[in-house]
Amino acid sequence: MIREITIGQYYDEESVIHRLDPRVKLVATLVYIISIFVVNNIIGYAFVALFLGICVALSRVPVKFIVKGLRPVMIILLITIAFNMLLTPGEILWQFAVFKISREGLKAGATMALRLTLLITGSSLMTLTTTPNNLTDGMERLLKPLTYIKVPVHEIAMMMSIALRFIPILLEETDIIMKAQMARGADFESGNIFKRAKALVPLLVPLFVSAFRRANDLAMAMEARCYRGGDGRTKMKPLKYAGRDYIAYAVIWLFLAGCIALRILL
Amino acid sequence: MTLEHVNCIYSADTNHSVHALKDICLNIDDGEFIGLIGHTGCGKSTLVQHLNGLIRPTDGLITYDGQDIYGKGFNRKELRGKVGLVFQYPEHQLFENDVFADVCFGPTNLGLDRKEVELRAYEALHAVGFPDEDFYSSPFELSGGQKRRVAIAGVLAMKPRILILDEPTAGLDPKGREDILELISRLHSENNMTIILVSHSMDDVAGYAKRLIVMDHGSIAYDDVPQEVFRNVRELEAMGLALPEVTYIMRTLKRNGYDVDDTLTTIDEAVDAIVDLYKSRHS
Repeated sequence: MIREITIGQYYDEESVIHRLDPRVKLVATLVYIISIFVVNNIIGYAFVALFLGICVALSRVPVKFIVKGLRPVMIILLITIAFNMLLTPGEILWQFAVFKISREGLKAGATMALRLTLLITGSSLMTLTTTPNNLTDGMERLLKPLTYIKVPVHEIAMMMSIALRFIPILLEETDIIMKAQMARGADFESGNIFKRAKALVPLLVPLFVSAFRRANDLAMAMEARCYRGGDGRTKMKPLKYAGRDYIAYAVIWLFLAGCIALRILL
Repeated sequence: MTLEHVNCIYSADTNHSVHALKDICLNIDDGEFIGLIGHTGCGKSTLVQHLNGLIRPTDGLITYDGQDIYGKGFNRKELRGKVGLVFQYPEHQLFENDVFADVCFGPTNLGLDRKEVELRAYEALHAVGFPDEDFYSSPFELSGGQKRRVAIAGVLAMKPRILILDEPTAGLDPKGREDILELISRLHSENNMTIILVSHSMDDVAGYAKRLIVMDHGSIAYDDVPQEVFRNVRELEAMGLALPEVTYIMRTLKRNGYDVDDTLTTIDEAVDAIVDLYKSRHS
């Protein structure tokens, strides 16, 4: 059941998008997010959706897999739509007691839903096509200028990569512990909220114990290899731009320009 | 308990889908002692988790006492009390402040009253040979072997008819390993409990199991008495499994012209055979 969550997961595949430099993908995602909020008409959204569609096709990640990742955020999406629909004042289309649906509300709700869907799909495409290690590497390089104002960029990046690395491990561990307790008759799915919260104790205690043990082991292993932070540390595989990365940069900036043009012209 | 054409596929719709179980058909009778053997990742853990309804098969039928365990109205929680599964690492299940409370967890979940729960916990801890004076110490401070005893007791306290142990000897020293195996064999002989012992080491199961099931890449490769299974030396080695070390010694002896039985699997049998051989030569 826990394995179903696909947001932030890496999907291993050989594709142009997978091979792009992580810095390009980070910048592109940022530009893409800006562009979603730049466009404000139907043709604009169609343009963004088309761009996203091409990227998904290029990445060779199955559409089914991406849609599955959208499922957990569906509730947030529905709440957003409902609030926008019911609470935006304007020309009233339908009314029942205190609930009113206005034309403006409907439009705002639809826009919001569209934007959120594009946003989540786009950013999950980045995590689906980039390994966590590459991602933090890229982030570390992009944020490097901040070291001049004493921001510990390397340490932050290291913490992030460790945290990301541990997500699948802890998920798997949670799965095993749940099963081990279910084998002893534990019930995680029924009962009222207090009963359920209490039922989590047999799950959380072993999970915490193991997380601390793993953290301890990791710290020991890092010290045994003389890890001492980022100063003067070199990379085994330094990030290097290739031809396709420059092309990607050109494409993404052209895309933003296109979005701006669509907003001004239409 | 029977399994009919059970298939299990993990992550079915992706490019990393794993066909963990392929068309498994199995019949487990009361009072059997089964060794389930296979290389790491061959699907043995997946298989045993099907037996008490922790994993739902992608396809196929599992019955307990003639009833489909995914049929309407079947109580899987009760099933887990009857088919006890001890996981590989005790760290995955120990959580209470003291050992006794932890062993009480299983029977409490079965809905028994306090008195019965404590009685069962006491019996279970006794059955695994856990010392009385440590009943109220923290389960996190015990040695590896003791933790494993507590974990087994935690399942035993539910009084299962079938006891499945997933790699119960992993990470134990030779003495602890011997103790745990002796304990399991005693549970089998004294309480007539059906035992399924999962392992990747032939040495563990050879001396105890009366039936060996060898798994390879999600299917059952052999299902027979140990001596018969061990005849397929080449095939077993190709699966990344080895015969018990004793059997290798006996085979070497035979190859060097000594007249011994080369299908022996336990140290005791081998010692007897060699002593007999020695006596017959020197008399």
